[in-house]
Amino acid sequence: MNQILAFAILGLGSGAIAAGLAIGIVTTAGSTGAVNFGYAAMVMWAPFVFDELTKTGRLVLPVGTIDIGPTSVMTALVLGVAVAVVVSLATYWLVFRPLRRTSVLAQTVASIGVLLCMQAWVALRFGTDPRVVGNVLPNEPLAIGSVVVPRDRLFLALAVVVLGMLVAAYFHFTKAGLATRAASQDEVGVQLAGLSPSRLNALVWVIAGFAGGLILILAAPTRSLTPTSYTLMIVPAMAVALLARFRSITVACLGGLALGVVQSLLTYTSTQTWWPKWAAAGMVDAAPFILVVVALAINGRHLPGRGEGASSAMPPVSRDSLGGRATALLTMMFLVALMVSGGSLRFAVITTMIMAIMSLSLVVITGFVGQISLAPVALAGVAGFVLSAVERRTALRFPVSPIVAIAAAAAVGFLVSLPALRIRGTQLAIVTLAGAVTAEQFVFRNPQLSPPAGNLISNPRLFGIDLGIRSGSSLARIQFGLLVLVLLVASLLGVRFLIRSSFGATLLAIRSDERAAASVGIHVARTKMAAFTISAALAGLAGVLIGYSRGQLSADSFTVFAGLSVLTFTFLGGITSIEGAVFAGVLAPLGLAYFAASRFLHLGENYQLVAGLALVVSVLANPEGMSAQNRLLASRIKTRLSRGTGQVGTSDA
Amino acid sequence: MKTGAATGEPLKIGFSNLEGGAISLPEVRYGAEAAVKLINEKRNGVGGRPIELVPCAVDASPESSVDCANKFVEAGVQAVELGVDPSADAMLPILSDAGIPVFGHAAFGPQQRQDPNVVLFGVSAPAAGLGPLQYFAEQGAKSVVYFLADTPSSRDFTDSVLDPSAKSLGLKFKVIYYSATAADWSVLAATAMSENPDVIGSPSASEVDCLSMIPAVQTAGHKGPIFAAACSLFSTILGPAAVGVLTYSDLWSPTDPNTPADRQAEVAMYKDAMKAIDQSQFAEKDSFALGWFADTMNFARILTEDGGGDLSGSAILKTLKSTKNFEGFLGPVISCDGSAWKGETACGNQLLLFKTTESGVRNAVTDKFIVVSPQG
Repeated sequence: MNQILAFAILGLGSGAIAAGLAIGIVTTAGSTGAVNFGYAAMVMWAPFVFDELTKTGRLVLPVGTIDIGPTSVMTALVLGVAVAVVVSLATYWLVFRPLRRTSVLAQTVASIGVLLCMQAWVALRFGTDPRVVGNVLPNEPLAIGSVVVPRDRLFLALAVVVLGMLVAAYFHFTKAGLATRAASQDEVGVQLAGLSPSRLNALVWVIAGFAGGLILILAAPTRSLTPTSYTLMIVPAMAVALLARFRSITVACLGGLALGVVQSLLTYTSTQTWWPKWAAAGMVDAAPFILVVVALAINGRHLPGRGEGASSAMPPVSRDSLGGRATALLTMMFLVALMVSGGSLRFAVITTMIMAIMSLSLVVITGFVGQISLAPVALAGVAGFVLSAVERRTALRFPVSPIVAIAAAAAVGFLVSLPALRIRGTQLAIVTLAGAVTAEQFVFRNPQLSPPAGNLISNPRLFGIDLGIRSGSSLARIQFGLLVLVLLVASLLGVRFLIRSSFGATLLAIRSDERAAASVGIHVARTKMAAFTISAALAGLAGVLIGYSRGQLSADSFTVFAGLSVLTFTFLGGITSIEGAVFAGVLAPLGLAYFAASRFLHLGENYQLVAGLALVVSVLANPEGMSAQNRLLASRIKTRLSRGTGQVGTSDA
Repeated sequence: MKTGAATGEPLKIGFSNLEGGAISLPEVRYGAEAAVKLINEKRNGVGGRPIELVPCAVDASPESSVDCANKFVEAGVQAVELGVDPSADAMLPILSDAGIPVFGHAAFGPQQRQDPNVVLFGVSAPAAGLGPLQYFAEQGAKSVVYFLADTPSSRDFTDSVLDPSAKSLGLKFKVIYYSATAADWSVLAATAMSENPDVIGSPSASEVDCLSMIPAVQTAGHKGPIFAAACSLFSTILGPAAVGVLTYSDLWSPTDPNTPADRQAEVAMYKDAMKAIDQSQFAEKDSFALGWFADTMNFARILTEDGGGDLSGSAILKTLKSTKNFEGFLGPVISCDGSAWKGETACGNQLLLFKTTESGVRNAVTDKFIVVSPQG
């Protein structure tokens, strides 16, 4: 019993961090409606500023440095939190305020840009060497039975509970807090009451910066400090925020602490001899998400409530996109690109096509059905790993082995659809992210399924013809390129056929308003399940092609952050259009844009910062993605030339 | 050995290394560059041909490693030297297909340990895990707990090497796995302490993990030896907490006064070479630069002693793999023909253990390399 208590107390350390971050995420989600993946990276300025001040007396700001001299812990803490507050406020004003009337997706993608920027900026200002931060809270050891526990864990838990109570009190008992909550439902009403929604939201972001900055400084001594330390903690923090339905500060606070306790107990129990071996790998990281998924699936509703309504401000879908001529033109372009290029340029062309297929899976499930899913990359990974396993353990080869792999991905996609029947919007995004984490831990990194020597994939062969991507020094053979092109065109035509069919109409009806769709006899659940399965099959196809193009697979290509990256590129390309998927392929890692940046732009240590800034600016300039802008431009040109537009907009409420 | 400047057609060597991102280790490249300059200007290159290093920065993603591999193939490099590249496994099929051999110091992924196109001059991963166990058993320890990152290869390593070897050495042994991205070291330390071990440590923890592991284990009440892999940053950052912590290396330390007299000339050569490229600060402390300086020197010497004639990829690989009983730069005798450790691409099965002193300098605890043999 003492040991359980001791491990529970130990878990309060990481639990307090998760709780503190979750409080900030819930707070800002309440004002903007969007999930800020960059939140942890934003507020981590606080512990870095604090540490630098206490060690060198230098106040290192995002821009400029001031030599203050020897600084007390309290002064350093105040200044560290102040910097986090300023960064948070500036981020709101420059990024999220201009985007407040755009889609949740646009704001989510912008937050990924914020994450990249902040992480890179901190690394440039403070260096990348890990730091050990001095104690802030009393840290004398406390013996509980045979286990020694640092006392600061208890103080950390107390601090986060007090902070949570103060923030919750603000929203429930102050005029400004109540007005903020009202503004999140109806800005006009608040304006009529003489209050400024912008200023109220700005205050919310100040509070979020304060809360996160303070907790990260207090918790900094519990782990080494690097620019990536807290960025990775955004994932469990999101799970806690999800448990709180992005609404309840109290649940965020207590849920975070509980998460830390559960993970601590799991760390201990998973080392015991009675713990099942199959559940030993990855359980600590994956289990909290499993619990969250179960809880939300139970608490969710089959249909949205009255007034929960349509997906917010998604770009319209064109059912006439990528017609016959456009498809033929695109095919010719890729064919010519394959024929005239060679080496790594042709490799980039091939990767562009593969990633276009991956993006198509997001176009189907998010663009057409309005279900924000972060699972496609994980599903691609499932297919890739299954392909490797099938070829390793059986005599099956191309084309049967990839079909089996794609079917496996589709089956998992079907399972992923089950929570989607009861959860929607941002919450579904996090649940699918949970699914991706689970896949990563239980499948990709599971020693029972993934051999220690790695996941090798042999070249595809058909009727004795080697269709593999490489041979000797030839980095990208035309045979593989043509195979990928055929599959890309088939996928594009397939998706076009899908959206123009009556089934496509039901997808769009569900996207517009699930209640209305159900009322006219559309079986919402069955349609969603079918859409998830089709999306998963496309992702699986991309996964097997990635495997063939690399010759081996590692889990690092299919992580949560890889999934966020694909979502970002697909959004920028145009998540509601088929041609947008092609744009996304150009932007994806190892695609044509990556090739050009890698060969011609020598940004060195500034690369990530520039990439993050470019992402944020792109979203601000094109909140509906580039293909939407291009379509608008094409539409204007057509109007000017006195020809009718082909746009059958499916606008949202 | 011929001396003087090399003037022939350059021998291109690709060099991939983690640089420019949230984690950046340029000192790894500096070590290789210092060696290249020395080899080219003072040692007649490789068979008269100067080495031309073709660097490529990676960011730990498989995609960046693939991109570098493609660049190397197109640049026509004859071999690739791996710096610190956590996703280097992704490069291997590309380089293998192109007939470009790969060499480096240590494996950062499971495939590098087994790929026939790879030669690693450092100590093998099994020996790095087992060697300290041998030493602890000889010193009278009865119980050891290791921390390992939770990966398929770590679990296989435990099942196939560590567990049977520890049993054979008469040690009570436990491995505690940690999340490579979100480890809570106070919890891990308490879990380790529940086993009442004589020794706690990790053969493979990163610098970041070592900085958290050492204080956590001490706070949890452990009074015995702490083994901190090949970490070095902690000795300057943790102050008194670093005293007595054990680490391993497969090279003599340039800052250790216990380094044998007959190796001091190599120490001086290393320091002078780093000074020649204006990076002497890395030679005045334990840094990654030494490992890659040594690897590059070994590579050049092996090929030169072979005659330095045919320097095609296949010939380089054949020469490297036929290396036997070769005394490495500041290192032990190595053999790259597979005899160092069966099934591994590493050439070494010997290491040194160091104890951190109050001044932060590490002193070797033995006066010669510990030879590690498979147990059980």
